[in-house]
Amino acid sequence: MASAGSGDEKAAAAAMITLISSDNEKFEVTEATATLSQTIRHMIEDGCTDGGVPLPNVTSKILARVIEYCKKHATAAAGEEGSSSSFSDAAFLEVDRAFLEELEEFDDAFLEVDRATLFDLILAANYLDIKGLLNLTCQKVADSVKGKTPEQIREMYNIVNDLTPEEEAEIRRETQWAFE
Amino acid sequence: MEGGGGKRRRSEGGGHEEVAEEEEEDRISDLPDALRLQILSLLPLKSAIRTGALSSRWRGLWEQRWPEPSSVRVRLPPGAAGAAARVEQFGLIDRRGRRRVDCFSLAFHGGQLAQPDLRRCLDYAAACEVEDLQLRLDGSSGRGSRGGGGGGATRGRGMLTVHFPVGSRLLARLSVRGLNITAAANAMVATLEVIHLHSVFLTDAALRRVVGACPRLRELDLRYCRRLRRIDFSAVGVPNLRSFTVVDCSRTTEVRVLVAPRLRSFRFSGAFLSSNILSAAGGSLEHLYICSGGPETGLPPTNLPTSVLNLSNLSVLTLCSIALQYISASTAKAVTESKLHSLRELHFLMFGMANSNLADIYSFLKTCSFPQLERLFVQLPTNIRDSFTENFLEVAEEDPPKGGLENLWLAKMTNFKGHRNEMQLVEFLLRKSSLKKLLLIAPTEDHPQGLRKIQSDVLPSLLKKEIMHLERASANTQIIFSEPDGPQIQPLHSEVFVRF
Repeated sequence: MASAGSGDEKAAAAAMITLISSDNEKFEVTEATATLSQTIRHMIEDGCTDGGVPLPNVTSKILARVIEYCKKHATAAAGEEGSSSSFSDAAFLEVDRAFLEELEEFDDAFLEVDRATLFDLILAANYLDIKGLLNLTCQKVADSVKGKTPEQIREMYNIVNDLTPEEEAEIRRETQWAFE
Repeated sequence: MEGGGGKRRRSEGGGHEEVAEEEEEDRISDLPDALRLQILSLLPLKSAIRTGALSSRWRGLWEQRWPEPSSVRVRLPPGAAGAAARVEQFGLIDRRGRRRVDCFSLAFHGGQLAQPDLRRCLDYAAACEVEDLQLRLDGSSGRGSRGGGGGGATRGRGMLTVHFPVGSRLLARLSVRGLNITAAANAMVATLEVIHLHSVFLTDAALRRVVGACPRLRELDLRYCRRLRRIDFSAVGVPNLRSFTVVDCSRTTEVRVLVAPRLRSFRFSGAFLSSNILSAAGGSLEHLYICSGGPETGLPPTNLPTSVLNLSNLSVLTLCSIALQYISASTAKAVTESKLHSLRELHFLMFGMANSNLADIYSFLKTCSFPQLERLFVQLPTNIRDSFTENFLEVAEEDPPKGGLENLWLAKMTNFKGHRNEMQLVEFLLRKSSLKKLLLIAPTEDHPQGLRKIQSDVLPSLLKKEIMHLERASANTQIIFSEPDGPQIQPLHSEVFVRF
């Protein structure tokens, strides 16, 4: 197993976990990164991560992006813990603020993906139960829908309108104010 | 396999399945309900509701976006059952806890709630960040009869009071009926877009503060708010107002709006007053409804009807017979050029059909040739004789216009009884060669004024024969006699605020 070799030398610094994508690609990540996913956290707690964690619902392309997100946010989480344990003076607050800004920039850049990738990320975040990533990606979709008319949303997302004109008129009539 | 041993490789090659399928696929609808609900929970109510019209898979989904129930409806039945219902339904609220709610609606009857109870409901709704708030006192304070506002100004005493703003950060829509409203100065409710007030007692200043607090206000509907005397938004502004309706706010003598750049629809029913709203809205107005509210009104000084002719973007217009009198009186005094070239639909509400009323119609049709007009609706009076209403203004006899109305294809006359002036109008319309359909609808049988349906066959066969033999300009014109309750083409301004 790929994880076995690298595992023993780094075990002291940080436990490593191997994630296996649906197309059988292996990714080695620290436990801190992996446990941003509640799904993986539970597996680790149950002690069933030896030999790698197969993730049959996530392709290597998407898994790579998810890991990128988790790594960034895992360091963020570690940084927060660090600053709260050491008494937070002005210098620390300044560092925190800068780091939060950097994190925001990272998130913005991270969301610069095509629509198919965005939906793959939503599904992966849901499957892996990564709250922050799920919120981030769902918010992106919500923002794209906000303030749009049904026609505009249908066009944007290739939604086929299978309602009869009468049904649609009825729906609009029920809450007419929202369509004006 | 090919990635064996590779550490966190930023693989570009992994996406091969996605590339081909991404374009035409409806990925968003394919998401599991739980995820679609999560997305919906991140939207303001208005946007969430709109998704309900996307397709059958989205219909009604938004209603489940908050933990059940996502809307809270408290309904207290009248009488003794109300007290028991109150205990039970307030208990439900307590058990639900303070979680997000889309709509909070409270309907009760006089005496069932005290001010602290109402306060408690409002606090609850605010804590749940309600977006659509509906408060309604049923029964006792009905709409009352027109002009009977004798005790109106004092009736607010003892009524429950809603203090504005109500506290929800996300309020988008507010509907209040039968309550007092007081308003704080300098409030700001940036999300509020729709306000409906029905039989609400609020002062001019309170209304001004409410409107001033809502920069995004799109729709304002004021009905039977009898304490209002002067509706004046000059100081606060209504930059986003699209639709404004005023119905029987009977003490109001003036509506002042300095500028309403986005106003598309103005509907007014009630005793005429003076207003600068038509010039304030100017070119943006597309729908206009002006009705004096009934046949027995006197003629107070008003400038409303006469400014109608200047509205160049108007596409749908409803005028009552009294508004028509004003217009024909003003055009008789000075030659006025009408700018109503874009009008597509015209609706006359005739409280009388005397000679002068017919003359008013002709004179109005002559002010502009109405090249775009496609549909004409005439609501005829229910009185039995022709000449019933007083003529407040002297109007000379008028001949029907010769030209114009080149695109008129539909005309409909309701309450058609075959009286002389009604027949004259029919003859006039049949001379239009573009007319495809003429609908003549008989009066309803159980009319309060005792008018009975003339016979079971809708209109006397003699009259029908006479109409069918009238000369038509086009062989394609179809004349249809119909019962009042049959399926019919309805005017766009189908909501008529007065009883005929």
